[in-house]
Amino acid sequence: MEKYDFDERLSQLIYGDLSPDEKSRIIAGLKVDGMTEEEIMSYVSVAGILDEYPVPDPSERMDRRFYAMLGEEKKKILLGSPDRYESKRSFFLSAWPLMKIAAGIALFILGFATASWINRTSQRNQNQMAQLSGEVKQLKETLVMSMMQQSSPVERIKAVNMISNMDDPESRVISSLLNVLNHDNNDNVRLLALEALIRYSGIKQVRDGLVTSLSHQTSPLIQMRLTDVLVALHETKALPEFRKMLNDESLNYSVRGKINKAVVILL
Amino acid sequence: MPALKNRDLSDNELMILVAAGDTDKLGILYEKYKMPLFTYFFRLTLGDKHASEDLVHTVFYRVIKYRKTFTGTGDFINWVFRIAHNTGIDHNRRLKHADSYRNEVMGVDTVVYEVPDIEKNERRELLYKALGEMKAEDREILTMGKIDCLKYTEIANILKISESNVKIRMFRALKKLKDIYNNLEKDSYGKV
Repeated sequence: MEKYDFDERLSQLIYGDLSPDEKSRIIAGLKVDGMTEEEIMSYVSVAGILDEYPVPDPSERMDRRFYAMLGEEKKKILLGSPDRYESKRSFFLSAWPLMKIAAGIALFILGFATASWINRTSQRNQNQMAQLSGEVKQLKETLVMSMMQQSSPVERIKAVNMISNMDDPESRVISSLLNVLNHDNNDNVRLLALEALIRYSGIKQVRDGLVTSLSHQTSPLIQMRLTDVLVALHETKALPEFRKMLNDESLNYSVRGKINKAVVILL
Repeated sequence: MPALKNRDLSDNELMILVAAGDTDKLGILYEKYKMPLFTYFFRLTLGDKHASEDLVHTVFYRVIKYRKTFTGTGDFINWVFRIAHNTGIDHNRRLKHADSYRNEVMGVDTVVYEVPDIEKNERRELLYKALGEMKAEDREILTMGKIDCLKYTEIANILKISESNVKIRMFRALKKLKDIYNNLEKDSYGKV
């Protein structure tokens, strides 16, 4: 702080417009603070060097250029030529409130447009995806239906396996699967169709189809498996069909035992 | 209302009239400030007369261009020297290095006024050499201190620093000048 004060006082001594008394007082003060008179005067003399060399007068060229420029400017004002800086400035000043509102509206529109674009894009993508997935599903089902008509049991097994991987098969696919379960001449294919139908046992069409299927089955393996499934599903509608089967004397012994137990459970 | 005579008008009033379209009034301000501004640039450019004239012209060109921004809330002298300060900065940027200043100063067409005294001539050369070795901002504050119409308050306003800081920076700049000058002087005598 003292150093700053010291610098300030010297600066004032050199540059300040001081009276002789004021100068003496500052010099005395600086001496008290430890500066010698020679030291003080060396600063004053260096500052004096700057004054030793007066600045020359500028040439007439400077004045001529200035007055020429001033004349041009006067002409512009008289002729009403636009002052580019001023016109820009006044435009911005006058348009500023409107620009703020416009910027707000533009921002809102931009936000809205962006949101709806994103929404539309995503909606469009979703629609496209849904459409595509629907088309794939339809194609797959057609393929499956066609495969189930094939003479080769391997192809029919492949078709049934494909159906069991479907999330939400159409009614015609279920009907086709039930048809395979009831009429396919290959036991393995029918058994596989039954396993595939178990996955969709929540569908009424499937449950009813399974009940009806009892009368179509001749293979003890399939009869036993179908009985287990109907018991597991607590399908009481199967009881009349079970009774009918029990009346059949040719019914397999193991199947009879299974159906007796099922009837007891379902009653 | 009686028309005001020019001598009755303050700098601020004159500039407000200029801003309003009475550009003739700028002539009065030009005549009043051309020399302080020329001095300022002459010192700043280490005695480059042509560059100083160009810089004064640039200042008044900017005064005309930005006349509408003068509101009269501050003093004209602060405003015009603030423009000069910025013009000087732009000039320095163009020159890039203080060395360029020195090279120019040592060139042919620099200090054009005649100093017949050989000793004076040598001292002047030493002074400008010393000034050339200083930072532009130190040279500027020393120059401002030597312009009569600029008081500490004005310099503080132009440089946007406190008045006390102006005094401190002025003294420190002078101290640097003194050190550089003394060293150059010693070297000069040593050569002899």
